[in-house]
This record gives sequence, C-alpha cells and structure tokens, in this order.
Amino acid sequence: MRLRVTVENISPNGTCDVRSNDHDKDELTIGRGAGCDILLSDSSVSLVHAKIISRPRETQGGMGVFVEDQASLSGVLVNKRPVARHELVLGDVLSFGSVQFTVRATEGVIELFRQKRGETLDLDAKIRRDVQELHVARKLPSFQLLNLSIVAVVLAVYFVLPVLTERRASWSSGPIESSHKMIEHNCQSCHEGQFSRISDEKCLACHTMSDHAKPFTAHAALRDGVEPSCATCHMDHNGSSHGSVGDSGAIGKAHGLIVHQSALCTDCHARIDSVLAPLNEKASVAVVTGFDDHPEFSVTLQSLPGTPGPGLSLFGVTLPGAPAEKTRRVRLDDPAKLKDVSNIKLNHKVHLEKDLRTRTGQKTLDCGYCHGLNDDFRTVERISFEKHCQECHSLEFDERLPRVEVPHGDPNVVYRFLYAEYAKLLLSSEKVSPIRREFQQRGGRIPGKASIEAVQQAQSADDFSRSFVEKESRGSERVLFTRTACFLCHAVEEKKISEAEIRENATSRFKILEPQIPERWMPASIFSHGSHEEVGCEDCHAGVRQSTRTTDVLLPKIDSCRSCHVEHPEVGKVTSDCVLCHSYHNSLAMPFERKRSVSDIILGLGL
Amino acid sequence: MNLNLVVAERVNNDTFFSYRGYRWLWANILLTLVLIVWYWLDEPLGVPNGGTFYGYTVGGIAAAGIAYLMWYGIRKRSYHSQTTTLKGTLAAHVWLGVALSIIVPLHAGFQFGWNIHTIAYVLMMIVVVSGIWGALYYATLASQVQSHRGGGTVKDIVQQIHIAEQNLSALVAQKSDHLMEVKRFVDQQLGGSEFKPRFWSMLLGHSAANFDPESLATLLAKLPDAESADGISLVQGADRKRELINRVQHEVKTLTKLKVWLYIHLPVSCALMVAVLIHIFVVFFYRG
Repeated sequence: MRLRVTVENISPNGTCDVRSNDHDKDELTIGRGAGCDILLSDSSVSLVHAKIISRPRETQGGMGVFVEDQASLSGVLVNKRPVARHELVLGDVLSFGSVQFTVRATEGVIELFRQKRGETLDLDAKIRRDVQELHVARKLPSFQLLNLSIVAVVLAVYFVLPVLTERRASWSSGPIESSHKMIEHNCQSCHEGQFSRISDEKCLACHTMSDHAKPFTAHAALRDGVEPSCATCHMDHNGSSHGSVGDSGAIGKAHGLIVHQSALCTDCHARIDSVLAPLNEKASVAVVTGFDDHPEFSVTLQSLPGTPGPGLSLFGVTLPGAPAEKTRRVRLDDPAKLKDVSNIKLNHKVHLEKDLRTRTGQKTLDCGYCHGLNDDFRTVERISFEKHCQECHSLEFDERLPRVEVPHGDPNVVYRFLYAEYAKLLLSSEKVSPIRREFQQRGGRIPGKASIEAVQQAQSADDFSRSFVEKESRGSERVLFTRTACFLCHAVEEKKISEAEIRENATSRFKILEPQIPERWMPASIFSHGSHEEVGCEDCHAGVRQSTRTTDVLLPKIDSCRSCHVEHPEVGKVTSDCVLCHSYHNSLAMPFERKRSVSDIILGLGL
Repeated sequence: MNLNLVVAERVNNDTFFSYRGYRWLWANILLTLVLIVWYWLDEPLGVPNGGTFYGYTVGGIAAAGIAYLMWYGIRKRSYHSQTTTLKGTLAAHVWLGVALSIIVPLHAGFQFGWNIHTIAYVLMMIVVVSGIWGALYYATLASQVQSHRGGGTVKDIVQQIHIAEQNLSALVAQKSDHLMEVKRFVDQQLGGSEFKPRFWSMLLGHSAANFDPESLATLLAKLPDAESADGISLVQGADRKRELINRVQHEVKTLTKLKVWLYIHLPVSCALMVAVLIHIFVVFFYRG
C-alpha cells in the first residue's frame, strides 16, 4: 500500500509550507512514540495511537485500507464518530486526539492531508508576545489620543458651539432674576461682551431712576475715583428673589437682584462729612453707621405761619421777602419745635372717651374708626368728614330747619346753600306763619297765584324777602363759622373785604384755612402698618389718650422701634439693615418715548 | 550603625505624603484655613461669588494652583532638575490638589449650576479624586510590585514560565499515555500546555487554584512503576508553573492598578485646563 502524508503549515503572516512523506508499507503506526511511522508530537495523542492497515475486506471481497484504534486514550474518530476499525473512504475526516486528517486521493495514491495553522515560536518570540500582551498601555488608547479627544469635546461643546450658535446658556454664571427672564437668552441685552463692564445705559434703557443716584455718583467719583454703576449694587445671576430655588437649575440659594446690605449706605453715611468735604458741602444728615446709632426720627411738618423762608439766594445775596418753605423737618426729640399746625382742631383724649353721643345713640371709638388701613395694607386712610366725623358731628344750623345740614365743603357753597334754604323757608313753611303773613301783606307772590296787585307790589315784597333771607343766612353763617360746626374743627379766617363786595358776589364772609394733615410724616422711610398689624396702636403711638392739643405729634420715637429691631443679629429680635426702612431710588414713571413692543423686549432689541 | 546611614534611612522612609514631616500638608491646611476665615469675615456687597474682591483673589490663587499642578507633568520629566526633589514636588502636588477641592468652592461662594463654571469644578474634582485614588494605590501597592523587590520583571517571569513548560514537555516525551494524562490534567488546570495569556482575562480573572489532590492521586496511581518518579517531577514542575502564572498575574494586576487611574487623571486634567481657560474667558468677556 502506498500512502502519502501531507502537512500544510500556514503561518499567521500567510506563508504556506507543504511537506509530504510517502510510505509504502501495508501497516503504518500512528502515534507520539519515537518508533511510529507517522509521528504526531501532540499531548492528546497516545504513544501508539492507531494503525493504518491494507488488508482484504471481510464481506465484499477485494482489498481495503482500514484505520484501527490501538487502545488509545482519546480514541480514533472518523467524521466525529469514535470507531475501533473503519475502512477509509475518500473525504473521511480522521481525528487522533486533537490532530485531524482528511482522506483524499492524489496522483493515484491515498493521501492523509493535515492543515496546521499558526507557527511554532521559539522561546524569545513567545516571551516577546506575552510581555506585549500583558502591558496595559498596549490595551488602552494612548494618552495623546485621549487627551486630544477630551480637550476637543470640551472646546467644541463649551466654546466653539456657544460662539457659533449664540446659544450661551452654558456660559451663564447662574439663574437670573425672574423679571429678567424675558431677556435671559440675549446676553447682549445687558452685556456688551468685549470684556467691558455693564454700562448704566443698558439698565436705563428699561428702568428710570430717581435723582438720588446722581449725587451719589458724583460723591463716589470724588471719593475713590471709581464711578459706581447700577451693576455695582445690582448683580444678577444670583437666582430670583421671587421664584423658587429649583426653577432655574440652581443648586445654591437664590438671592435675587436686590442687595440688602447696610454697607451700601453706610459706605458713605458712616463718614458723610469726609465724603462731602471735597465738595465744600456740609452734610445735612447725621453720621450713621447702622441702626444702633441711627439718630432720633425727624418728621416733615408744615411751616409755622409767619416763619420767613431761607430767602431766595441770588449770586450769594439773599433777597428779603423770599417765599417761605412749605415744610420743615423737626426731630421728635425737639419738643419746642414739634408742633403740628395742620389747621385742624382735634382732641384725641375727648374722642377716645367712653360712650360718646352720636346722632342715634352712643358709641366708643377706637383708633381704627378714623385711622383704618388703606387697600395697599401699608398706609393709613385720609381723614374724611363724611366717613369719620359725620356720624356724630351734625352740620345743622337752624332749629326751624331740623335735619337740614349745610354741605361740607366750600364756604361759598355753604353760604349759597343757607340762602337757598332760607328762601325755601320763607316761601313754603307753614310753621313760619308770621313771616309768611307779612310777606303776603306786602303783596308777595305765592307761586301759582299771580295777581296784578301782586306784581305791582312785588318791588317792596322782594326787598323784604331779600333782606329777610340775607339776614338769616348771614346770621347762621357767622354762627357756623365762628362758634359751632365749622369752627369746631377748622381754623377759620374772616375775609378782610368790604360788606358791599361780599353782597355783590354773594360769597362767604369766611375762609377755611386749608387742612394740612401730613400724609407722609417720614417721607424717606418705607413703613408698613400692615406688617405691624398685630401690635397695638398705642404701643407705638403712646400718649394718645392724654393728648388734648391738636399740635401734639403722636408719632413713635426710634426707641419704640428698638424694642423689636436691632442692627446685629440677636435672639428674639429683628435684624434690621438700612434697606428695611429706606429706599435708595425713587422710581419715576417710564417716559413714553422709551416704551417698546413686547416682541422687541423678548428679542432684546432696541436696547 | 553609621550615623549617615541612619539619616539616609529616615529620608528614604519619607513617602510623598509625609515628605519632610508633612510640610506640604500643613502648608495647604494653613492656606485653606486662612481662606476659610477670610471667607467667613468677608462681607461683600450682595452674595459671596467669584466676582467679589475675595472671589477674584481666591480665583487667582486657584488658577495659579491648577497651573502648578499641571506643571508637575513637565517637572516629572525634568530628570536633571537640581532645585527640588521629585518627591517634594509630588508631595506639594498631592496636598495642593486636595486643598483646591475646598478653595475653589470658596472662590465661587458655593454657587453651583449647570454651566461651564461648575463643569470646570466637576472636572477638577474628577482629577482630584482620581489622583487620591492613584496616590492610595501607590501608598499600598507600590511595595507589592515584584520587580521593586528584586522579584524579576514581568518578562523574567514569563520567560521562566515558558522554560518550565519546555521542561514539562521534555519530561513526558516518549513516556506512557498515563503520564501524558497527568500532564493533560495539569495543563488543563493551567489553561493549556502553552502559557498564552490574554490581558483582560488575566486582569479580571482569579488566580489558578491548587491542583485537586484526589484527581491527581487517581491519575498518578495509574502510572507504571517506572514512571512514578517522573509523575512526581511532573506535578512539581506544574506546581511551579502555576505559581509563576499567579505571580505574573498579581504583578500585571498591580502594575495596571498603578497605571489605570492615570487614564482618568491625565485626560481629565487636560479637559480641566481648557474648561478653566473658557471659564476665565467667559467671566471677563461678559463682565458684570
């Protein structure tokens, strides 16, 4: 039997090495043992694994080539099935352990063909291979590649993209004030960019500010050489002072745009003299470093009648007869000057007595009867006759005219009302028969009963009636304005004009001095009665029940604030900075020419 | 003992943590405390933020600190530097890095948000944490590296494994199938007759366990008398191979741990540098 054993060795780099050995024996041994004809140096192969024998077939006759297992450990497989003896057929796949042969025919001989992949490396090559495999740096991308890619990602996402697309939310240093949300994505609404600071023009494009900002700016410029801008005090991107903390993605606490710090004021006011010195100005306000050394409150009162004004100053010369100031500021601890001259007479003590007589019965007043809160929940109502006085104070003027009251208002109107009422009395009242009789005797015309005699006698009747009505009216007027109703509450002056002139124009002889009840006693402060509603009125407005004179000023002194308010944090007290009571700006109305459309505002246009 | 040797030993015992009696730790604690106290005393207009005088000052310190930390990458390669020791520079690097994780929030007034400014801080924290991770690995693992203890490099061990393999093959050549059975058993336990490691399975896998004595005994009992000595030699040789494989696995794991944190530390520090530059650009470009 001729048998060829061919081994094709394909190395990883693609080269192919084919070796063939021809055998010409009827019995060939296959195994690991050195004496075997076909040597397979593989640990899965037994020393003598199998034999290939050429011998007569047992049944069909003729010669066959057989493979025969030699009690090998891993056995012989033909086409993956273990066999003890098997006649080889072309195409059979023989396995000896892990070694495989295919049976094929070449040039008339039977060939056992084996294909081996991979190469047998020498020791050095194996070591090189393994050392390279085990090195972490060869298993991960290089540092250069990693560094460059991550730098490229950060640059692209946080620089190139915002620059090119104008989507710069990732550049924002924090959530902005809720009222600025409309312009949130238009950085240029507030920022010029170009490394410049925010200019006041950007703020003033929408907001109008009071004049207070100007002297402050001037002083500050002199002081430090640095002009503070709106943004010095108003810093945005600190969250919203209204909105919830989480609504704009902020993790920290929201603070808003309004800075509440005494330092804003005391920066100058703690050393106001030295701040003003370079301007050759003397401070009209006291040095204040905080609430603790805040001076006693001053109130704005009406000028005392007859007080000369500071004089109209022209080129350093004060002219005499200059107009008087309408108001004056008086400190609450200056009792000599502390006189409320409001042209109204009021006795708080009397009004707070028990069981006052009203038109219908009895009533005990409390503070709120006259001083109720306005709808703004901060300020107190203006006093009005109709609402607060009328229930008790009648404006009746003649017992012959019960329940007839003069209107509360202009004295001229009051006089004409009286005139009309007495005329009506003369014409219609049954109760005044003596007057009526005399009127008729003189030929007075009763409406609807005209007669020739009456017309003829009218002249004398008119004279009578005019003199009667005028006499009664003037009499009642004088009583009202000098003794009773009007005089009770108002400061009244009698006009210094001739009798004829008064008669000619049918005007009142009296003048009510205009009431000047201060609406804002402390105009520079923000005080909310609403926030203090739990506190009894007299806790702050002490002495009201003892006050008998109208000139008494019943406002609380700063000490009564100090029972609750303190400058520095203290347990059980309210920490109070300047901004709690004072406002820096007085907002003015937005000029109409600066108003813009909603879409322009949203798009940040026209700024 | 020579006094010079005592001194030399003490210097050598300094780690990059404890360099010169924790000099850099104390310096950074002092710096951080000063900045914390200043933060506490500072009363800026508005709320504390990066744009106040304090914010700018501390921001400047932090930026300089980051620049110094990045410079370590250059200093590390300046082998001829005489002015400072590398260990001292590393000590400063480590402790300043830890200190910055507190100093930077002070700079920002603890304002965080979804923006480039906080991104820069987050990147810095990733760098710091990965650095602490690496430093702890160095402190605990560096002494376990075989080659540091004269135990041979990975290459040396791999070479020994392959030599052991050749010896085993030589031992069973032309010997009975029963001896071959024993070899196949131990080879199977060691992942094949040829040591052909894969990096990831070596890194993540367990070390090779001892051979099962019962199975071994059964196999050895089948050996012909003439080969019983060979059987013992085979098992001994395989045991040595197993031990070598475990040693190289431990070495590879240790070396990888000592290196892998750098794959976060270095790229993220590059990203951090760019983020800080963008942060500085943006806050000055859109100044308040």
